Amino acid sequence: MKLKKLILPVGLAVAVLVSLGMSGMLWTNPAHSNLNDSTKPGNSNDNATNASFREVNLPNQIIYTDKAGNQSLLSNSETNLAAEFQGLLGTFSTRQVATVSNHSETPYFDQLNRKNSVVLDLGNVINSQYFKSVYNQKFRISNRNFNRVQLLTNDSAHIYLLNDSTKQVSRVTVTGNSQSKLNDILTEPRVATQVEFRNWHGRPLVYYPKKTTMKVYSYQATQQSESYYANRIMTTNTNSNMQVKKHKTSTTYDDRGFRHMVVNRNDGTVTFTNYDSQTGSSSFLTMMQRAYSQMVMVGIPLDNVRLYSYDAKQHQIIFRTYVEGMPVFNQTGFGAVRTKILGQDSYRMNFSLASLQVPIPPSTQTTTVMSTTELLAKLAALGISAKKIDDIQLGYHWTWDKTLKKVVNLVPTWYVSINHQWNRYDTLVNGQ
Amino acid sequence: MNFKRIMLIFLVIFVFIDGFLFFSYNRSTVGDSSTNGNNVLDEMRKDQIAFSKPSNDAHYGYYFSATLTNDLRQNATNLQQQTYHFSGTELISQFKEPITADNSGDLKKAVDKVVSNANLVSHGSEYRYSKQLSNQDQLIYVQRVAKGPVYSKDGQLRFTISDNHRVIGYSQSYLDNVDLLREKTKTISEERALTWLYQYNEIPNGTKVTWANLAYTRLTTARGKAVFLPTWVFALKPNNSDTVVMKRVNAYTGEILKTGSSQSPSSNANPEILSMT
Repeated sequence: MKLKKLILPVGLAVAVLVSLGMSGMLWTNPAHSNLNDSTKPGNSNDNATNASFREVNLPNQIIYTDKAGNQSLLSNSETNLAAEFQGLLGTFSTRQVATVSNHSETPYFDQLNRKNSVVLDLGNVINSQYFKSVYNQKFRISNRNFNRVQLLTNDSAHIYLLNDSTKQVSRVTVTGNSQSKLNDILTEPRVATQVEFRNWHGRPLVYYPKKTTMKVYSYQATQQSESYYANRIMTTNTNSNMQVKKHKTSTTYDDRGFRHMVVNRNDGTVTFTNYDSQTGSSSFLTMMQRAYSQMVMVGIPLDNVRLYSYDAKQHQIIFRTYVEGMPVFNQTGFGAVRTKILGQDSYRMNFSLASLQVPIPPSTQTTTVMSTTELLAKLAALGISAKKIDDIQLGYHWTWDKTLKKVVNLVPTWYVSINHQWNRYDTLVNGQ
Repeated sequence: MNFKRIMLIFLVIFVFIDGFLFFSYNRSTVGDSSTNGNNVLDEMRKDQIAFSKPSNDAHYGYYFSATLTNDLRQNATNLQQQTYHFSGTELISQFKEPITADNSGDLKKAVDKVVSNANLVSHGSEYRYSKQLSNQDQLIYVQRVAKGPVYSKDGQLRFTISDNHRVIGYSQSYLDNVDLLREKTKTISEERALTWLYQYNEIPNGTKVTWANLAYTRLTTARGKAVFLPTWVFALKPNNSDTVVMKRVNAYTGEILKTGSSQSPSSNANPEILSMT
């Protein structure tokens, strides 16, 4: 009898509380404010077409060794080979891993030169966790660091992981790796340039024994305005007034809080320092993901931009513009974007106001690039011996067209690293 | 009225209020979960915009450059059963015998045969009939380059249909020296292009989207060559009008491409796609 009496007041109390709680939730829900708004949904998603984290992590060079042992560097003609190989690397599941060799040069170079194989250069030494995130969700091999992956055209049950610095070769047993898909990619139209892996002071060097013909590119470039970035990244701290100081060749923006930006009008670059962001991390993957999301936050167009290098000592990540799987030099003094991690929650980012937008017909279709043999001979004649050279690579040289406005010409040329500093071959000739 | 009764009435009222709050809370969270996409399509329907369900598939396309050359002029000497002249690089030809509909009464089929005959139309095999661009006065065939149709007045075969349902002649423009400028690249989906077009206020209320197609259109001219890129082309027909306005969206970036002089910029793509003769 007493219980029956209680039902009504308790029920009422519950109903009142529920309505109070629900009203509170509705008021605090930001979506509610738009409920009866007759305006069209805003176009806030302006970064929706920006390149994904996967896309800024495409493999760089693809080197194919046929059954006779002839090696060639494969590059795009109609399809994006790097993207296709990235897709292929995501298809298999891993079973087990075995170390084939370690710290030994001969077996390492034998493995690189293995017949019926494709070696993908990942650009940097990455760990298993990173590979899993960018290439293959089913990757279950832990504790491996590697910078190349090797696929075999005559054995789909194994792939190899290679590390240039430790000379570690790991054989991974895999399932679900499609032989036919690999062969399909290899039969697609592509440009094949004869190359060889050579041992260069203990590290593999992609050596061009013959002179080659390479495509020249021209792009219409966009020069983003200062105010675009100022509005995007410097007006978040609403409580303070942004301080703007104009100088002769630069403008300084300061939000009197955590953000500071300098636009250098001379070379078209921006230096942005952010003292309030979680960027530092002990995990390589997390740090890279955070660096990537900061680029997206800033609003840098990442269409042709890829991860170029990570320097663990300097805590510095460099992204470059890429054409044909080759890096572009001279866009600025540092690449397309350089992020230096200053601490657990601060970073400094340098980036270019210019980015490539629309490809246009080049003034000449192709150009001939001398062989590595000829290059080394010419360098020796200039007094630069092989001992002094730590690395050589082909890249595209960025120059603004003299007649057409906002047009960038990209011409293939040799870059030589001396004392860990990249130099364009022409500047070495003229500088001596 | 006793106290019990008052409580009962209050309980009923509060249960109703709870129901209403729950309903509106649900609605607002649903609206929040997808700022782009489906609810934009719902918004469009509310604005009385009619369209068929856009596909969400990604496609692939290229940037390419091409030029108009004297190629048609050089090949013209081999053409049979017609007299022709040139207007610039465009060939204008008149058949000696007009084309009439075949036995089934299908004029298009008869024209198809003519197009595929290399003695009658040069490079005919590179053109494909376009239902979208054709109308009762004209059969339009568009040139196919880089695995896709080109929507440009500079890559078309136009057969004019006379009043007595015959084809007397045609005009032809041909894109030559095609060079791919960049490797195959993924495009945005039709749904995304359509919603962006709407969000940039390019689709007035009460409009019918009659068709949508991924086609190459001209973006710019550089170093004497036209540069083409994949675009989503939408045909819009306002409620009280018979004129179809074409709008195009850059299929790589989603940007609305404007056509026309800088004084009166409009995103009407018609003059770019169809020659206004």
